[in-house]
Amino acid sequence: MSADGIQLLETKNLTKRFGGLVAVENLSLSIRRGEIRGIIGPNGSGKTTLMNLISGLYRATAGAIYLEAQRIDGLTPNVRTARGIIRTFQVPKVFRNMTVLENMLVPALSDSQGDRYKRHPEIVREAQALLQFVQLAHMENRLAQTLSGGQNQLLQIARGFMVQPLKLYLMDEPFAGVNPQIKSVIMESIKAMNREKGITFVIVSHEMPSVRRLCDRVSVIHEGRCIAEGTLEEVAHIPAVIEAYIGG
Amino acid sequence: MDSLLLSQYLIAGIVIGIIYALMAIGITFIYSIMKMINWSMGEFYMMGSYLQYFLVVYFLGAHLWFVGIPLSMAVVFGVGMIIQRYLLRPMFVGEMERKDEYATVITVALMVFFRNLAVVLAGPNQFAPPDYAGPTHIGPLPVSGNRFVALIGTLVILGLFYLIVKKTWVGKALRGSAQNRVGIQTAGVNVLRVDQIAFGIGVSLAAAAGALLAPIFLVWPENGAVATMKGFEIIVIGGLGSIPGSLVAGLLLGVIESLGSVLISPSFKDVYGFILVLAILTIRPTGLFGERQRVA
Amino acid sequence: MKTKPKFFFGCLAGIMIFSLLLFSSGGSAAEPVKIGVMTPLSPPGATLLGQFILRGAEMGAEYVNANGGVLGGRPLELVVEDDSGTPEKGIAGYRRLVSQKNVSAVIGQVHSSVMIAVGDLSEKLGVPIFSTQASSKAITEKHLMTAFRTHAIDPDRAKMWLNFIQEMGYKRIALLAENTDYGLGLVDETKAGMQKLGLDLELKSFVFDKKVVDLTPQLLELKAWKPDLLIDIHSVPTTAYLMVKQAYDIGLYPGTPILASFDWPGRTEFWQNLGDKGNYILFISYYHPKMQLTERGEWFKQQYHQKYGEFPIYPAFNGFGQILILADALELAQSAKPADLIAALEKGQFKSWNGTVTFERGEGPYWHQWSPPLMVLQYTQANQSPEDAPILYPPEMKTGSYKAP
Repeated sequence: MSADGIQLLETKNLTKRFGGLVAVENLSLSIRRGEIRGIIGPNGSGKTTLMNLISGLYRATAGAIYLEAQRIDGLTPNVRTARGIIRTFQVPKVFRNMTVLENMLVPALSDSQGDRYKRHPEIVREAQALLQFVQLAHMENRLAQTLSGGQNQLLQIARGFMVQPLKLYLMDEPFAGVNPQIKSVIMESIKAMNREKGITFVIVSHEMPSVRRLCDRVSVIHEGRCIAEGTLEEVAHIPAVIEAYIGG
Repeated sequence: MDSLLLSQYLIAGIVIGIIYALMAIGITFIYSIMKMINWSMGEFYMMGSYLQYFLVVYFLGAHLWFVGIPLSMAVVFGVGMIIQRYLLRPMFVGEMERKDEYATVITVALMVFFRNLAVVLAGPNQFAPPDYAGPTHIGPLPVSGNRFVALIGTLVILGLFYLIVKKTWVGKALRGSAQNRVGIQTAGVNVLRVDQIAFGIGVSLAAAAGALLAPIFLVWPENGAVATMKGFEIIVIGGLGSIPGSLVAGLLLGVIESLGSVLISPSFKDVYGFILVLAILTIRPTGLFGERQRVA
Repeated sequence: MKTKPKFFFGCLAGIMIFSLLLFSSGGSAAEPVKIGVMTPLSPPGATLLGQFILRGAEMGAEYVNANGGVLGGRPLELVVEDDSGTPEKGIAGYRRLVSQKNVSAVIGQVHSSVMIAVGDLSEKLGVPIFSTQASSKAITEKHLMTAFRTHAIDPDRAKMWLNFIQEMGYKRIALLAENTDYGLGLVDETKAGMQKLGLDLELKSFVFDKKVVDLTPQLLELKAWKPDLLIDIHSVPTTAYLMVKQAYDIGLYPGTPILASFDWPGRTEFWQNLGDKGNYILFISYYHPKMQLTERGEWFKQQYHQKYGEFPIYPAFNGFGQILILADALELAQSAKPADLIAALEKGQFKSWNGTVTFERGEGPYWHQWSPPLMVLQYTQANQSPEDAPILYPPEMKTGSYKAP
């Protein structure tokens, strides 16, 4: 890990096995503070497993994860969120029987926000401002189950921004099955949050045009290992990457 | 059949049905969050009834019975939190297989344990706290003051429960956990803590039923058994995990038992409930309001 | 499994062991003679009756052992079995007592349905079984070699209340009966007795399931029928208390008198549970605290009071008495073999708590049957002790008249 504190997240030789299957193998990654990193790779290459390991839904079989030079791989998911890591899921994990606004308030239940009773009106204002920002404000009193898949993805992403403090935002396929208009709202919000609040993003995606527009660097994952790293243009010419995509 | 008598049966059924529902809501609430069935629910009912009896008879006096009910609920809430922490929580930590079996074994063991503990501590005899209120009337039905109190008490407790679940931060955490366990965890909420609160609330609802029904169905080591059986019937009818379902099913069961036992034959009162259960299972296996992951 | 299995299985084991400890009892010296006590100790059985019988039997064994045991100094040892009031469990329990524990006799039967089922099996296995408080006449009507009883039977009971009804001049009689051998048996017995006695009565039976705790609908129907007397035929006291409460709450009782088919109102908990609502109840009893007891009965009454802080009631007396009868029969037989014991029981005369007991090969249900004296009592004020309750019937024991509310 780096002494200068530039690295926000590091994984060291991270390995996850499910029985005989190795989903992630000896994976070492370094994400700089303020970076927008893309994670690409063929289907089944271990990208979502990596997300689950970093967010704590899976325990690593071996290896270590550091956030700001502190080991976090023994912590439960909620503690990691309280430390500043939020993630989204490809299939949005929204609370279907809550309204859009109530969904936005859930992160305020985090252990890191013990002052939620005092700050209640303020939290509601922040949530409404964010909904405005992602263009869902007109739906704030609708139940989440009445929203489209794309709107739920948007809601899930906006809800993540309610986490405080927020340092690292992991997104798993945020653009999958989302219409162009919502896609551009998501892109804009990622850029704005990165620029204005210095939030670091790690984005797993198959959408190469979006990845190209958003990400400074990408890591290519294949069969659980990181086989290349660099700008999208750089990695696109590495033979191993081409082989992985064609072979996969 | 004479219409006065018919309306008497109906009212009797409604009163008992709403009280049954309290028990069912406790079971279904715990299930909706922890996805486990608490088979020792009747013993928390029993605990509530004993606490109420001892509080009223030895400390508060007959006129302060209504103070005893929240106190009994609070004590059982605490006991439930402790049991969840030390006996049930381990099944949610790490990647345990067969959680259901684990929960079944633990809660059945608790059932045996608490029943025997009650015999040891208080003996096999029955007790009854003094009446909460004198006989009264609901429309044409002469009804015991105790039943009337239990009905009102149940409605008050259900109202408070609704407010807590719908309007408070804790309620939001409870609903979030019921609807999406992974989602709530990744939003930074300690879901094990939510489980603990949910278990405490669920068993304190059983305790409330026990305390409210103490002068009606008395206090003895196995008094929770009947309430539990009705609770499970209601859950099958209303749908596991559905709170409105429990209320509607409780009313339905109370009325059907009351009418069935006088209109058809009185000797099989319990059978009418089971026939209803079977009919529902055939027509709608998930229960009337059955839907996965739903609360309030 | 990444959990800490040792810890929670440890907890689990702790719970189990503690539960077992609560139930277990101490052992005794070499070569004891074993007597089984099979009685309902868990629902749906009448667990309280079971508890009282067990208390009585335990003190019976204490009495015998304190007086030198049986068969030249061998102690009596009780082996307890819970039949839960269900025939299946009763059969399994009897088998276990006979084949694994080698008991010489089994006492403690409360539920007629269990006793009837076990009676047939006992005839095959040959170990005598005693009804302590199961009253269906079918039990002794079969003339089994192994079935004995020291408790009132249904014809005794039905005859008792028919005579009482006649004396009181009641015409419309509601029988609130549970759907078991006990409840339905007594309904039939009452109908048969009515014809035999040539009485002109309107009888109506209201049958309910034994497990039901809320009888409000039936009681409403019963109230609409306007009977002169309600005869309650419950076998489980707990639900009977609830019935009285419910009858009171709908305004049926005490306006319409209730006669309880056995002495459950005689328990201390009756008043604890019912308070003023219990007043004016009528009940059949086989025991009155002012009745004359044998020396053994008196010993038991005093010792029991010392130990439990309350006076014993009938099931405890009867559990005690049956152990003493068996001890005497063992002495008479000079053998612990069941066959020898049966022969001794048939020919001997035994001092129990309430008199001298014999088991003759009588007619009909009066085979191996010894009926205790019966009476109708009434509470005439709230919190009255059974001792002060007047005896309304039979005339030769009468100490008071029916008091209306």
